[in-house]
Amino acid sequence: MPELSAIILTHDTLRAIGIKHILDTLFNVKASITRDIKIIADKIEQFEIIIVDEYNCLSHLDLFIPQKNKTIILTSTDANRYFSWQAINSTTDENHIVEAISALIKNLTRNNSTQSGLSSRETEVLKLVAQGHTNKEIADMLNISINTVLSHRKNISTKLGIKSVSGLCIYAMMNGIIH
Amino acid sequence: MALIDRRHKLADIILDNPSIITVLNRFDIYLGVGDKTVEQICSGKQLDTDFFIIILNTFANEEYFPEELLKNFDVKLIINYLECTNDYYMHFILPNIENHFNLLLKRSEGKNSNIELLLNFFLEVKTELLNRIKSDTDKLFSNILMLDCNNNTVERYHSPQFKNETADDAMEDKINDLVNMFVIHLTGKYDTNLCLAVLSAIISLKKDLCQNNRIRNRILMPIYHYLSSQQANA
Repeated sequence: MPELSAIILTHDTLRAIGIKHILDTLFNVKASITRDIKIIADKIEQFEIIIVDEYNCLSHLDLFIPQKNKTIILTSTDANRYFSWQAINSTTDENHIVEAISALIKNLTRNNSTQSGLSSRETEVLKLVAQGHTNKEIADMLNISINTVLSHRKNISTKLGIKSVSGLCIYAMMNGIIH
Repeated sequence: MALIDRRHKLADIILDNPSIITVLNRFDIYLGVGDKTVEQICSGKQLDTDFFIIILNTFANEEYFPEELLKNFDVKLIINYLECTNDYYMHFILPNIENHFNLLLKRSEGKNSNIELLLNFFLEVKTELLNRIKSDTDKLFSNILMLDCNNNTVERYHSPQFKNETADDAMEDKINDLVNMFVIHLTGKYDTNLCLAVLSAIISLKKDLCQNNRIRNRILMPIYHYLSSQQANA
């Protein structure tokens, strides 16, 4: 099962440690804990799962609404009060919490699932990366923005499990994409 | 996992965490440890028990990394440990992987070009790691020891976090990529046992290097920059 990354934002450190432990041991989710919203604000896109207490979520709705599909609210009351948001009541018993997290992660991974193979555009980008072109050169050659190139590269790395340029180059040679 | 402490028997610790066997050698401890506790072994070998325990704990528990405690140890201890780790890379794990890789390539009798490509990738990682080891041995470690000798302040190592991990992140990424290429993308015929031996050794190197980089980058480098700034201000 691929490893997912999560961030837990809450001032309640003990509660965060508990959630982190459950995520790590039962769901292979590597979670970081923070008490500071500024730590995650700039890189919120990087996390596949965001777990935030209700205080922080409500205080920074502008940040979390665009990330709603991957956000889970930690509450001490009825989880259903958040309607279309995903929420966990952390005061219920252990089995209910584990079941709730399991259902939410299943939902998140279904939303985020990608096909295992590369698209033709991604293969094109991979070929140019392996040939040693910079992101800007690739953007110019394919008439797309640098952000789109970065997005393709991120998808390629996720699908192949290969991050480094040297690794991508070797993969491209192994699969006849470059010679 | 519960943290290791001085009363635990070393044999039990090894049985619970077999991967620490490679760490023990760096403290001149070898298999056949009997039923001695950590404290008894350290006393017999005249080792710093607290330092030994912290290293074992950071190795056995990825989550555990007490930065402030580590920064307060004598810098010579930390450097000595990193030198022993580098020796292990240079004289054992890297040659071991390369030998097995060459044998794997030979056994494929030119019928699997993937193995040769993966070997080339490994050699690139090996060269990067050896270059870093050389640079650390020739410059970094001696510079730090010299600065430490000239430093008289008591609060020596309450230094801020220093972020310069890009090159090491890249090295860790490459090793991770190499593992994934074996596990996910390897095709063609190959000697299963040899392939498993290569992969197991690379996975072991990956874990070890990750621990080593934490100590080098989060403990030693901040100390180095603190000592450098102290000297510049003197």
